[in-house]
Amino acid sequence: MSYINAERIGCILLLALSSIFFQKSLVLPYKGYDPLGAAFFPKLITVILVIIALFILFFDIKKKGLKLKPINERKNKDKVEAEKVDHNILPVIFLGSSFVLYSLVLNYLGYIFSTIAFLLVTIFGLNLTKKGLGQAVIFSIGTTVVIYYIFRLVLNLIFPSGIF
Amino acid sequence: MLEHLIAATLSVLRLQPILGIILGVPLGIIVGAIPGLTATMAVGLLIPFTFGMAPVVGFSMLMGVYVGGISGGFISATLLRMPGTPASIATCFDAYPMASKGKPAFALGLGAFSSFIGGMISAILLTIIAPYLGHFALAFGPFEYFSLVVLAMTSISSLSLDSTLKGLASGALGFLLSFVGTDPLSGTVRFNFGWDQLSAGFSLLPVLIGLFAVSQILKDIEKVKQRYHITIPKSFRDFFPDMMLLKRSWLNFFRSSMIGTWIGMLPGIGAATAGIISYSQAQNASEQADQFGQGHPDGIIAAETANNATTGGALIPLLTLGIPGNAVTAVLIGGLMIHNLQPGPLLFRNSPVIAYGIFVALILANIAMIFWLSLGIKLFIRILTVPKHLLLPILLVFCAVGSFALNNRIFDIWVLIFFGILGYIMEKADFPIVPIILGIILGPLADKQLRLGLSISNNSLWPLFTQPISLVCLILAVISLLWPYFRAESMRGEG
Repeated sequence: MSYINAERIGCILLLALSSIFFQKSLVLPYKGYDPLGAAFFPKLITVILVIIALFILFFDIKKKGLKLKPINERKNKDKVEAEKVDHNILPVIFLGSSFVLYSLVLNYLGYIFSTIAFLLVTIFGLNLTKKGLGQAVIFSIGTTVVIYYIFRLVLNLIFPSGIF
Repeated sequence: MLEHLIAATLSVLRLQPILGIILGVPLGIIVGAIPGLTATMAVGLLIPFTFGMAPVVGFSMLMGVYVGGISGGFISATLLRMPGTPASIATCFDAYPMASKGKPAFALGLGAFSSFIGGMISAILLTIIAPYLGHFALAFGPFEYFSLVVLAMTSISSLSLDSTLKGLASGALGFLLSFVGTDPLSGTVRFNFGWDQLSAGFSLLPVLIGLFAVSQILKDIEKVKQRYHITIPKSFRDFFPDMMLLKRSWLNFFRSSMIGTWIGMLPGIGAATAGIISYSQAQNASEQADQFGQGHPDGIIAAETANNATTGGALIPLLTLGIPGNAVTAVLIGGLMIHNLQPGPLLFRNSPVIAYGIFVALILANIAMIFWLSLGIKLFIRILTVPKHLLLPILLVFCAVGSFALNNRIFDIWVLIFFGILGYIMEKADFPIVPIILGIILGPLADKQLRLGLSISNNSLWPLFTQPISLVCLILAVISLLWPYFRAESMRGEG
């Protein structure tokens, strides 16, 4: 049973972010020659953002009430089932976390090893079949080499070389 | 002028300069289409190779790369919602929805044709009026820039018709994030949260790729088993706009070309802003404003015509005053100087054939651009036939490598990830992404120019209303803000 309301979470995040920026803008130094100062626009925008977020929150609470209902009570049951089939959050988490891990190791393992590993894991992980493994091996090595060739050898750009 | 123009045309219409253009354009298109590699980079990479060439061949090739680099970005923007260069950001708004509805070839064809029209009109304008128009760019002071930003910001209301409040929240968030980095006026470092890498602010390209491409990849992977639906065109007729669409859209083409050329002339604004302003003006003028963002042809026309029209516009202050209008033209100065050509008023007096030769090369580069794009369309759309489990991880690698290549630092990949997740969450919460882009691009301009203007005018805001260009921009902003509501009211009255 899910009670998540993305709109309200979004507004709360906006309010939190505005508070952090507002607090930080209070300590920015004021220089006499600058009529408004470096803090003027950030302060103005945070106040505007707070007002807008409160408005959105107010209208949302007015529309749906303070206590949220579970999603499957609010939506047509068939629609929820269809969404379960169509939208799957697992591949998003898998690909997203693999990408974060890839970015973490890129500097240590270097471009070639980390890219081959990232593509091998994600391509095979998203298509867990015998054929998928073969595809993963071919495409991970092939893509890594082609990108390396274009960026590094033709365009002379620098790649993370790793610590090895 | 005419005899110089004829002599210049004859000097460019020879085998070597034409070959330079024909080879330069696809090089620019390829670099422009790869996220992270920009037109600036393409021109910069080519300059050393032009050193040994005759000046006319060298600048012809540079013009080819320049036009190709600005145009190429729309290919990845259309097919993958991945702006190859910031210039093609507005193209994502309608070209991607059209492509994902199964018409990628038509979206690409329309984009290519619009780029051609925008590029040609601005090149012709450049040829005819450049010598007289250069000083107009200098008439833009801080208040004029600020009013122009106000005009651009009014597009938030039209870009978020479904929920103006959410659009405003998104725009304000973009403004707030744009303040991260060193304040250009006082030198104070703002909101870097202890990270030195943030002292220069966020690099624009990882932000754009994160918000549009990474968030879209995450959305697409939700339906990993589902294939993209595309129709392979049989002939050119299937992907080029028909006469009816062209007749209906002539005003859109003209308006967008004018906006693009005008914005291109103004130093420091750029093709991305031109595309966004032109897009919002097209939406305001359209009777089908509610269909913008869902694959409307007018949206593609406005965005692509305007961003390519900046190519000629940016050359106006460069060639007439020696002032580069954007990063690409700043690099182009170097390319011209290695051939002993000094851009500025003396260029027209000392080397008129070279000066007009650049105009002719720009026109020919636009013709070569549409030729190459037409040939490539059937090939480009094949990318969507690749299964998602193969395509999407590879695209993520391209996003990462492109972001890294900008400044050679891993930090930009973290920026990419941050904005990718932000974009994904915003789409889930139904917050429009486009206004945040507007805020990020325009925030620093608004902040700097208003404060600069106030320092010059002794804290008076009056020049905003007393200086003609500023006043015109503000009046246009008010009209742009109120127009959708007036139109809705009048349509309700008629209904």
